[in-house]
Amino acid sequence: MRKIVLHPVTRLSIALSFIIFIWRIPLAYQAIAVFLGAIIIWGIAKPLPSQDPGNIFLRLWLTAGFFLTMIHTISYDDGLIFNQDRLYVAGKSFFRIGSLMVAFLWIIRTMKTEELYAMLIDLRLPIPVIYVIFQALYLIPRLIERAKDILVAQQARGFILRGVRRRIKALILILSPLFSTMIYELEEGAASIAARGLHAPGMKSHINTIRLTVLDSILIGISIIITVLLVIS
Amino acid sequence: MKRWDTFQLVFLAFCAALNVGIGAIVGIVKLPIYLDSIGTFIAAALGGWLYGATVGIIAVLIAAVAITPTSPAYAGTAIVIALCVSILVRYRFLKSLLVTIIGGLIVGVFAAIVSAPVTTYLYGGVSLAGADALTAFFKAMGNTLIESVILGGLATDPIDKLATSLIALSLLKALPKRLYQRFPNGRLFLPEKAKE
Repeated sequence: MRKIVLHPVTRLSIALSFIIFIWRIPLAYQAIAVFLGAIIIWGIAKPLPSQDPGNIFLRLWLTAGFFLTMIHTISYDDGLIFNQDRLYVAGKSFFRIGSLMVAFLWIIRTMKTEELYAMLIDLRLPIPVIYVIFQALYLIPRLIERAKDILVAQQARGFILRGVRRRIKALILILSPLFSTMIYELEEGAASIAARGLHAPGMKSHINTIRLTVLDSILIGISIIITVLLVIS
Repeated sequence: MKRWDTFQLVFLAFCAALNVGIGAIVGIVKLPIYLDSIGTFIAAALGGWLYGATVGIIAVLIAAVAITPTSPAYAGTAIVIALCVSILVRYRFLKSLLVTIIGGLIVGVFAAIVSAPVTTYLYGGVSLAGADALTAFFKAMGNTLIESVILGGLATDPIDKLATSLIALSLLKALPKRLYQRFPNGRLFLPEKAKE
C-alpha cells in the first residue's frame, strides 16, 4: 500500500487545530485527547534515547505538572494546606501544555528538514530569514561540540571545575575562545554564500518537490473550519 | 530597508544558535542560570533592535522544536529585550562595567514584567525556566497568580540578565575591532581613538 505523505502546511495546520481544540474543550475530554495523542506520538513500547525530543518534552511536561500542582493547590495558613478543588485549574494548564508537546513532537517526528526548507521557499518567505534559520540549526550542535572540546582542553591544562566562582570562570573560558574562533568561520561562511549568490534576484530553488494533493486541500479546509468554529464559539 | 550583508546574516544565525545552544553549554559547566538571550543582547547591541528581535524570534522558534514547545509565546519578551538593549547601548551599556550592571538589571525587570502575562494566562503560572518554585512559594504566601509570577520573575530574571550582560560585555570586547564597522551600531563600541 502506498504511504500517504502529507504536505508540511497540512501537518502544521492539523497541529495548530489540535492545540486550539485542546485549549477549548472541558478537562475530561482534554485529558483523553492529549493522552491518546501522546500514546500515538511517543509510541508505547519503544524506549527512547535520553536526548530524544520525546524524552526531553516528557520530562518538561512532568515538571510542568509538578509545579502547576504546587502553584495552584498549596497554600500557607499556619501550616501547609492542600486545596484539592484547585486541582482542576492545574489540570487544565497541564493538558494545554501537553497539547503543545504532542503537536510539536508530531511535527518533529514527521517533518524532514528538507521538506521544511522547500515549504518556506514555496511560501516565499524572505531568503535571508530562511538562511538564518537553517544556518542557526546547523551551528547549534557545532557550538556545543566545540564548547566541550574547549572545556576538555582547559581541564587538560589544569583547570579544576569546582565551586560556583570557578564554574563562572569556566563559562567565560569556554565562551571567549568559542566566540573568537567562530568569527573566522563565520567570515568564511559569509564569503561562501555571497559567492553562491544568496542576494541574487529571482526565486530560489529546492531539490525536494512538495505538492499539495486533494487530500491535503481537504485536510487544510477541515482544520481551518474547526479552528474558526472553536475560536468564535 | 537596507539589505543585510552576508556577514551580518551569518552573524545573526550564530547569535540565534548561541541563544539556543547556551543552555547546553551552561549545562556542561553545571551553572544554575539560563543566559538564553545572550545572542539577542549581542545582536541588538551591534545592529539595533531589529537585529536583536530577529535573533530572539528565530531562537524561540528553534527552541520550540529543540528544547521546549512553550517558548514561541515569549517572542514578545525577546523583542522587548532587543528594544531595551538597543536603547541602553546609547548610554555605554555593554561598554562601561557600571552601566552594564545597572542596564542588565533594568533589562531583567522589563523581561520579567513582559513575560508574566504569558506565563500566567497561557501556561497557568509555569514558565519551565527556573522561577516556578519561587512562583509556588509566593502563591502559597497568599499572592494572586499574576503577582506571584511577577515576583518570581523579578527574583530570577534580573540576576540572569545581569550575568548575560557581563558575559556579552566580555564577548564584545573579544570581537576583532574591524568587525564593529560591519554593523550599524558598531561605532559605539570602538575605542575613542579609533573613532577619530
